[in-house]
Amino acid sequence: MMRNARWKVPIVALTLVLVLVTAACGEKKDKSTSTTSDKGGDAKDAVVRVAPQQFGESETLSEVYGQYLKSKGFKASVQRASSAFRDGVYPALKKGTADLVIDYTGSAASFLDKTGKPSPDPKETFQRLQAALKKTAPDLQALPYASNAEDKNAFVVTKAFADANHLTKVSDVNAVEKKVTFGASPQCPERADCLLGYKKVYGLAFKAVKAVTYGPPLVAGLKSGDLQAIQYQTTGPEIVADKLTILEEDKGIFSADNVVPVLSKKLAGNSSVTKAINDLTKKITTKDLSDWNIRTDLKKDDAKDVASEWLSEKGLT
Amino acid sequence: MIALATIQAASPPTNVFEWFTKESFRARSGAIPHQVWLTVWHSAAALVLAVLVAVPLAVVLAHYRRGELVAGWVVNTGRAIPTVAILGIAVIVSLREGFGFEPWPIILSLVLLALPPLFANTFTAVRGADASAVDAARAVGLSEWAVMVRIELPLALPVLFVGLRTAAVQVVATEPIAALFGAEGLGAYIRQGLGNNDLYQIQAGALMVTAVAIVADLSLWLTGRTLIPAPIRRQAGRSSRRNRRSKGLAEAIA
Repeated sequence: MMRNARWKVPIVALTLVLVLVTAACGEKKDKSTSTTSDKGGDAKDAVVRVAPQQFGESETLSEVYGQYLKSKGFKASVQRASSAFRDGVYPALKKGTADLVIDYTGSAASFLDKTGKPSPDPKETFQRLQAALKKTAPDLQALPYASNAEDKNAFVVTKAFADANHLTKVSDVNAVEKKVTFGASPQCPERADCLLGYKKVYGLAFKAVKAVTYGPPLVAGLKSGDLQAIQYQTTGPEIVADKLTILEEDKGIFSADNVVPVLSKKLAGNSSVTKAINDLTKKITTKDLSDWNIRTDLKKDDAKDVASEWLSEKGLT
Repeated sequence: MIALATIQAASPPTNVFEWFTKESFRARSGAIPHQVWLTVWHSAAALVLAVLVAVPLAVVLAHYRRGELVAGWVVNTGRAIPTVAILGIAVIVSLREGFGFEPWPIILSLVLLALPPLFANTFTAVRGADASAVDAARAVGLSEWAVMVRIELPLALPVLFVGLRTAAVQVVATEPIAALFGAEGLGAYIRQGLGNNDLYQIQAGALMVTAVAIVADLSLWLTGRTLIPAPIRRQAGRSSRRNRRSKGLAEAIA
């Protein structure tokens, strides 16, 4: 019994510390991202509530648009990400509890209307998105997409492997396919923009295919040489940080995925808002996206700070 | 390694029986004997390593009545960490250190999974070993070491084997998660079924995992019956009923 009591003290203390630390973390997050919003009318009074999806790049993009619009005098705010993906933000847009979502053309179109045919062409993909919105969300509208900012699927190899085998595009891999162990998420083998496409369209017969959970383990496998190629994303923070090379997908199995603002038709009717949004969209590049991801995902910087620093760097605020 | 050469199957199976009987469906995720073998040897290796770590430690600690609360606490905390999290970290470290995707990460994760039941059962059993037998052994001049190895450990065997069987079932049932981290084994069918929206393949994978777990449990039960002399088996049943204290500890650890 004595021994029991002696052990209780540190255990209880440790538990208390843990509880306090987690509580403090939660509180901080609440404060930094929660916002208030009020109803507004036309022109400069327009209320723009930006709804981010829960991943670094979307949060930074939302902050960039929110802070920029605020600096232009609109009543802009960024909502909490609160574990929302497309299935959370689109209903919010339709219900009117959010006003603006920054999305990606191909993925948004496929989410809204699964029957559309993917295309690597940004313009066609944007038209597919507009058609999908008309069909499934007639109260919403897409503004012109960012022709320079895209985050899509990527066939990734190490720079050393690409140099040694003279690889610049995916079809170059055919020559060395027997040297390549290909790693991708468990869903990849059945997807047309992944293994199915590489086999059918490129005729690639890899030495082996490994199913690896998307994220750090996949990149670790590529860096260690256990994998020679992986299916990843173009703006993945590790691509720059770890000197990885994206091979050009030259046979059109990937869909274009440009950054695109989607908003309610009511807000789109306010020409000063749409002009401000369109001005900003033109300024964003793919390089910006990967730079932001390095800061938010690898260095764990706050999306808010990353956004405001970028805006002042570009002289936009 | 999966042979994905036959990726396009004609049509999906319409029931789990068809999945088992038609070669074309199975070919996509590798031959069954190969995957069963991988699961069996990953599990067996993990169990052997876990026994080598947990049993000597538990016997010594229980014999000297040392650190039971620390041990109980460590064991319980270890049990609370999800194996999938351990595996995720182990895979990254293993890749970085040049040990590859398999088999070390999954074996390490399974060892950590098997340690708690093995340790807890061995510890409890040695603590609960018949005190009169231990006293008699000391009286005839056996060393502490001999008391541990020749008296307490044999007396602990029946309960130790219960722990081993528990661990074996858990280990076999958990091994399939390796298939999500670049390894193969019976989990390949479950992974492939999920990626392919093929419920029958998931069912088939789950059935095979269950079958291997049951076989492992039965064969360990049989091994225990053959290995442990009948008097000790009966003695174990009686003393655990008599010895309230050891029972209380078993509950505390479990």
